Amino acid sequence: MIVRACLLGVSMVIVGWSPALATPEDAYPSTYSVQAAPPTAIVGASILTAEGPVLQKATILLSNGKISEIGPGVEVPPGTRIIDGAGKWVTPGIIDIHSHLGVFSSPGVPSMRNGNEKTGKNTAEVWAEHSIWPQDPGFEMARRGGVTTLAILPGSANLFGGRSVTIKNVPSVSVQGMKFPDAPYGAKMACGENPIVYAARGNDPFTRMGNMAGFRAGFIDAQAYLEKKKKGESQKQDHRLETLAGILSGDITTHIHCYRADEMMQMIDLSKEFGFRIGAFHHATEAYKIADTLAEEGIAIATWADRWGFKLEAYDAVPLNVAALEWAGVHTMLHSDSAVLVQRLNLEAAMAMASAQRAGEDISREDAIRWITLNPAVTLGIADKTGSLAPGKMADIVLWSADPFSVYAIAEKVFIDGVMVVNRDDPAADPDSDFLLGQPVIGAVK
Amino acid sequence: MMHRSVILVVALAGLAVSAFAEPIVLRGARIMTADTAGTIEGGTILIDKGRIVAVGRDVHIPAGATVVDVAGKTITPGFIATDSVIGMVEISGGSDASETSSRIGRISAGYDVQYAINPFSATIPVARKGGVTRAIVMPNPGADNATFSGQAAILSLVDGATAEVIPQVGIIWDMRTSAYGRGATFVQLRADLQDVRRFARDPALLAKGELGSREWSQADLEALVPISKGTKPLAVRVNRASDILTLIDIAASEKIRLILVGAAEGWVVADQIARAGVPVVIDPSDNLPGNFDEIGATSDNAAKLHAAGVQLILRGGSAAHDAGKVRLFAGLAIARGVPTEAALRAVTVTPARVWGMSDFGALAPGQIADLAIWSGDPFEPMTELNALYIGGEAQSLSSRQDALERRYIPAARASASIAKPEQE
Repeated sequence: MIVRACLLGVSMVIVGWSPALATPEDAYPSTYSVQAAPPTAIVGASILTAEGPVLQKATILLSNGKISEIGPGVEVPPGTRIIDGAGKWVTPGIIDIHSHLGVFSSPGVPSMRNGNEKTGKNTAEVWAEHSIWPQDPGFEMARRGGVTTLAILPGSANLFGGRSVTIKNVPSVSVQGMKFPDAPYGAKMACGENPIVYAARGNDPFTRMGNMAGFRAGFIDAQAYLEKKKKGESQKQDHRLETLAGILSGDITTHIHCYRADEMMQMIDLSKEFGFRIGAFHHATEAYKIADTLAEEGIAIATWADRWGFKLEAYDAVPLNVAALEWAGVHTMLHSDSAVLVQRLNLEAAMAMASAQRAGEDISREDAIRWITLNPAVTLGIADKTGSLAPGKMADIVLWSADPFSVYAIAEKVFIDGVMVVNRDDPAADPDSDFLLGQPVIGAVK
Repeated sequence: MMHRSVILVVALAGLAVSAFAEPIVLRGARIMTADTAGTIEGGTILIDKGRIVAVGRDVHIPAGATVVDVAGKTITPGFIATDSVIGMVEISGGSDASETSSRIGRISAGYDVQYAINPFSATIPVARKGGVTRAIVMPNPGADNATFSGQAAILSLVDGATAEVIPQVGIIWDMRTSAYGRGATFVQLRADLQDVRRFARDPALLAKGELGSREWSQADLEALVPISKGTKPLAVRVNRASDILTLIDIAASEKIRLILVGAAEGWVVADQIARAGVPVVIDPSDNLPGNFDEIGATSDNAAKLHAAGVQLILRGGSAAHDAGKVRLFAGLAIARGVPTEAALRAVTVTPARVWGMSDFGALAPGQIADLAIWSGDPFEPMTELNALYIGGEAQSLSSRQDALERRYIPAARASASIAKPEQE
């Protein structure tokens, strides 16, 4: 990444931005490796591929960690483990683009509040992966909700919160063992109430204008840093400026926590002032007010179905937000920002579909499933590897007991790279976090 | 599908004015009664003077009644959101638009949520759109580490300027373990109840300074008298199995009516809870060990409690803004093994009865006509609410959110003009 940043001019990046091509960091590399699993076929299910029409009574074949074949007429080779999918549904593994699992862990004891480096307005130097506790039981609960990939973000207490990381939701002793191989980094930014509310007494920003001043100051420093790098001049490596320079050079995707429409418009102007691309606005409860602008600018939105009112900047949230964005052609995603909601992102999608239906314009299952699978994969720069069901992609899939947009749907089986990590037929075999292992209360009643 | 529901909404909106003038007949629906009749296919409900007169397949339709064809629809009792702060909170975070607890230590048990409720809160119409007709409004822990948080109320979500509140239906007690320690807080609770009992016999003891468990205010003591007599319930927020057993023990020896709220580890001691006849309020999505009091939290809690015979109340959707999602939480419980009828009762008749209310919560003769008419399975997110009645009157299903949607989203404007041509 350092080399690449030296070669690319800021103006070039705006045109040629392509996070999927970013080179991985050398430091703290992923050690994730795909475990061996028997070739498996799910036969006779309704399959939502996130790439096209639902495939009825179809078969999906998994081998060597990849999807090898998919369709109604797939022949199952001998020696394949066969799972009856009749009456059931298959979707890609769910991707949550806004999670704090592992950085705000359960149990939520004070020493485990590791998601917000609340020591200043600009903590772009911190990396969420250095806070992640792989034993957070929230990971396994999310797996049981069908979540196979997560973007773990630092919190929103400061203007520049630090780097996010994309992980596979696999049991692992180390976070390196979860890191999604070759996934680009992200950076968390936050506008609005949070940076103001959390600013330590006597520190800035104290106001929203202080927020904007802080963003601009940060990027001015980063421009100078990047300039020196491009010229090959020697300078002391600065991790804060590395992250900000990565934003300017397009190697690092921006995830901007922002609720209000007017503030998103300010952030769009900020991005033009400094020539960086906004990857996605997160939360964005007022995105519906500027849906056409977001579509024109090519800015993605990650939001909830209808969470609202928990603070003034979320007071204008409406249940039709997601549908309005979809209709306007915005790249739309549902996120959780919660250890509880992450377990039912499929129902968040159903609620957003229901709002569209109430307005008299149905959104199809085929479109809705992308909000929680392919669309976040695209924004995270991993859509060539996961996020939809197609031959050659990672076998990250969920077998649902029923229509995944039903409240009664249970993720019966979840596969990550072809390995069954959830099996409702044998829940005792599902990997538990070390934390819950052997807890007397759990074994108290059978 | 869309067209039919629109017709129904228009028909029912026209009925609102004349609701009390003549009987209303809702004919041809699937009726989930939450009562002994169970679910009635192709049933009819007769409503007169705000109450249900008859429910069944062969209901006599009186002359002059307005008959609404609701064939293909499902009717449930209006849902009751338990442990909500609806009406007390406009926005939650760091603002003066949120009061959920007493701010002075001197009024704790006597803290009365009825005065904090704003009937014009924008949260109330949003909750109605989830089929919610009533809410058990419960205060949060207040100032000075008070263990008694105050008196709950039942709020009717009826559309109007005056809050229809049934006040003082019970009291909330919080353990405050971090301030007190378990070894002190339960001892304090017993001592407090002793004082209240002595006060009930002789109120002059307060002035004489002979009630020594704490520095009492008269308001707190008076509020607690019905608790000490077992005529109103004491609801306790508790998660750990051992604490639940302690509370069951205290309730038995002090002869108080206990309600357990939270009860993440309730399943571990489900048999003891069932034997004690103590109702439990749980959030079926509560499956994470948020702290060391709920290491045993599990999605199976609701089903295991029900299987043990525990009287179940389901809650879900924290704060005021998500009260309308309680139906989805009931659905989550069903998905994890609670029978549909039990989940329905857990969000309708059970909370009503547990909080001492006998005249609403079920679809049965004599009950107040609080009911919701759905396009299908009421627990499915894709199901639409077609109409909501409180006390026999059709309620507005329009919220501030709808107004925002109409201002900014073309499809919302279009569907609004179809639904209510006379208003556009």
